[in-house]
Amino acid sequence: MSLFLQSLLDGLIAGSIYALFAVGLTLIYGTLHFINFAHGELIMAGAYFAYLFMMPPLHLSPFISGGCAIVGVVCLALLMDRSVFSPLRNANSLLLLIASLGISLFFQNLAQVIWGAEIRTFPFPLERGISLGPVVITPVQAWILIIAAGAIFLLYLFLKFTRAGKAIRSVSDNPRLAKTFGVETERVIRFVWIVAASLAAVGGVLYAADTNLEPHMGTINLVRAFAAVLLGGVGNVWGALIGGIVIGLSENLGVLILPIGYKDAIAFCVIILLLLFRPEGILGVRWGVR
Amino acid sequence: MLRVENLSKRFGGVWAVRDCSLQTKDWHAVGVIGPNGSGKTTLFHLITGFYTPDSGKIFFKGEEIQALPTHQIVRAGIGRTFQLSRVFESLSLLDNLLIARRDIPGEKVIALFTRWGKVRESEEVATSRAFAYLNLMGLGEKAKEPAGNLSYGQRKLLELARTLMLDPSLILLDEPAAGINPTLTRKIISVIQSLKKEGKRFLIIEHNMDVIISLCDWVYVLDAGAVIASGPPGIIRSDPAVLEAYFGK
Amino acid sequence: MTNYLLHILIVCEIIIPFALGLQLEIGETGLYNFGHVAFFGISAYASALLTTHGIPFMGALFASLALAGLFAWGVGYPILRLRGDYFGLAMLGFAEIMRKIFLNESWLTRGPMGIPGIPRPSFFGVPIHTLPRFAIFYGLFVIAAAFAVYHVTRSPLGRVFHAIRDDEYSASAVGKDTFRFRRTSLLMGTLLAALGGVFWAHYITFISPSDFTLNETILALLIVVIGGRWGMAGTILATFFVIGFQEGLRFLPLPESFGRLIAPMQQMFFGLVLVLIVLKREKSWFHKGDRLAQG
Repeated sequence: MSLFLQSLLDGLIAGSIYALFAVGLTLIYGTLHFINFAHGELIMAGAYFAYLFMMPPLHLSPFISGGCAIVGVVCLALLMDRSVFSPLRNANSLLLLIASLGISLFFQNLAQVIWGAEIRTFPFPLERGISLGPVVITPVQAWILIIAAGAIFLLYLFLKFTRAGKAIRSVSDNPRLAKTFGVETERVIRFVWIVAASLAAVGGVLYAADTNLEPHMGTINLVRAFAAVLLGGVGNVWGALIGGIVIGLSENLGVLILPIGYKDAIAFCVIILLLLFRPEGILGVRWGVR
Repeated sequence: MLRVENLSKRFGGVWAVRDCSLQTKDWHAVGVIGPNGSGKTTLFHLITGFYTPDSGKIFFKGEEIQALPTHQIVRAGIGRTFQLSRVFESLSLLDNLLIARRDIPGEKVIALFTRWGKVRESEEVATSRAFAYLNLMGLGEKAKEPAGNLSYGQRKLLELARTLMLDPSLILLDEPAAGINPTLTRKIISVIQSLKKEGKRFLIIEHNMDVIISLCDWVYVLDAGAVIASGPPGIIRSDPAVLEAYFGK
Repeated sequence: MTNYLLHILIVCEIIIPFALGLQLEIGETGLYNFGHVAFFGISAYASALLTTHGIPFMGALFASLALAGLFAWGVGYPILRLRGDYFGLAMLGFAEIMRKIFLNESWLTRGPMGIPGIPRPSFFGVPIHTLPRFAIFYGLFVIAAAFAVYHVTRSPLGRVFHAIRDDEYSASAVGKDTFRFRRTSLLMGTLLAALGGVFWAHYITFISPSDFTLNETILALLIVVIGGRWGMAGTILATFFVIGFQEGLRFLPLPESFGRLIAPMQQMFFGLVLVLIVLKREKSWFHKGDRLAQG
């Protein structure tokens, strides 16, 4: 029983991180209509930027390092959009997918050139877990939950109450409608990249804090995020949020039945099953993508 | 020949086609008119199996076809063109026509590697027929060019020629005269008229009433997915319900 | 030096069928199969396991091709109902799940340790154990495969593939059962990939799950993107370029500390080339529209 509850908690923590990835990815898919493979590398970049600032010679605190990582990842995302995706605005979604695959390959290996292929961890001191009844949570995990929830809350405020947020929602809901209503699509796209990149950076840092960093960490997290996006229905922000948590839970509960080696295959199975049986998602309505 | 009974199709919460019934009896050409968004093209997509109806039935030559996939409906004898004509852009004009046949031996993997003579012979026989249609449309000289080079109007002609290669008994034309110049329109009308004499049957969506009047024996008027009037084209033109659907009150 | 050139030629002869298979699927039919490597892996494992258990090479070759084909048939049945990027992604998922199976079902595949000591091929008693023999033996298969692909792309069957690539709706409107033809294309592409997989296993004589990652599919994708525009000949030529570049780098006399960086830098370069080609060729892409215009 306590194993089950512990897995539930671990799943919730992992899921809250996946939710951050998924919300960004679904915003990109909702507005630009392609699967951005390089989203995984934004996550990876977030983790490594934070690592860079935390380690000598800079030695900044984890929170300041995280903030710097967000700035770095946003710049990276805007650079990607400006140089590659923006010239392909009206291209076929498969072309964009292949281009993003190329970008993903580029940055994954750039990270390997700079930091090497070895697995690294953040320089946090080992801390004793806090017992909450039958389950144990480490202080780092507690922070992860708090920061993830905070990020989601900020996102909610942004989408609900700011002009830019409302514009994003209207484009994501229906790009054609938004165009006729005169929303400046390019400006909105820039906002979408900023939001998606910030969430990817925060999520990447949290993910690295929860587990570790390595140059190829982006791919599997992209897959989890995409599974969550499909669960929620493409373009549906709150659906993706719940989808992320569902993926986190199903991975951590799944390994209670499956061999641990298949943990990373769970998200893939979810994707295939959803594409085949419920391409419009389970949680939301169909958003007219295909 | 074609009978549509109480056909309905909804997208999201919106009825695209609602309780629509019509038939072609033994008329040679039947028109379908109606304002934009009245469900005409959706009706064509339903008849040709691109969409599956939510309810209702479609009979062709007495057989129910609403549950069949598109390729079987086409094989049963219904050919169609598209509103924004769709040709195979990378294929030559000739190949655009050659592909539109039934039971091509060269499309089967085993025959392709074992019966070269039969494959070649079938292609050669079809080529002369394809040239006849291309010449009819005035496209014979461009036979080897990729179809992507054609102008908008020429694509319409090519698409019609391709449909004829299928040897269909009923041809669905989705706005054959839209967006093309009057000379080409006259050409398409004369081609359709000569095909009518050869015994082909047509179901035509068209906004241009002159085209409808010169071609059709009977007209159905659609509004909001349902048939609101029907009759011979000369009479339907002045029907008050039709005028209201088109111009409002 | 001759040995080195022969080695490059043999690797090309392994990759050519693999890349031609993807060319047939993506370039000719518009099936964006991002899980192509799965079939390369399935046949490599099948052939490795069969021959290490005493089955003769030729028998193992055909059994492995058949097994890969069977897998393609099986996963194709549901996944071919998807279109465009969804199809590609579902196939990618299939490939990753296959890799997890190679990695985790140790009783069969020895897991991450891989299968060493895969016997060299022999052709009705003639052992293929020297580089020139490999080059000739594989070369004959590659020529036969290339001829078959050439014949298909110029045939009425290839015409249907091209039609589906251009506009699948129109293809069904001229009476083609597009599902069946897409499956034929997937099966043909799979058999070609499987041929490459068997060649790989018996040339390298050691396989492990890390040989069959997304990177291998991307390698073939890169080849197809570079050369596919000029059809089959372009794909073959592009294979020589890409493999020559990759294998060439491996043999540069570089200091140990820098040698470690070669592989990732080469991958970076491949990624960059992929992006640049897409940007440059945006207008003349294989596959145009994939949706039914509304009205």
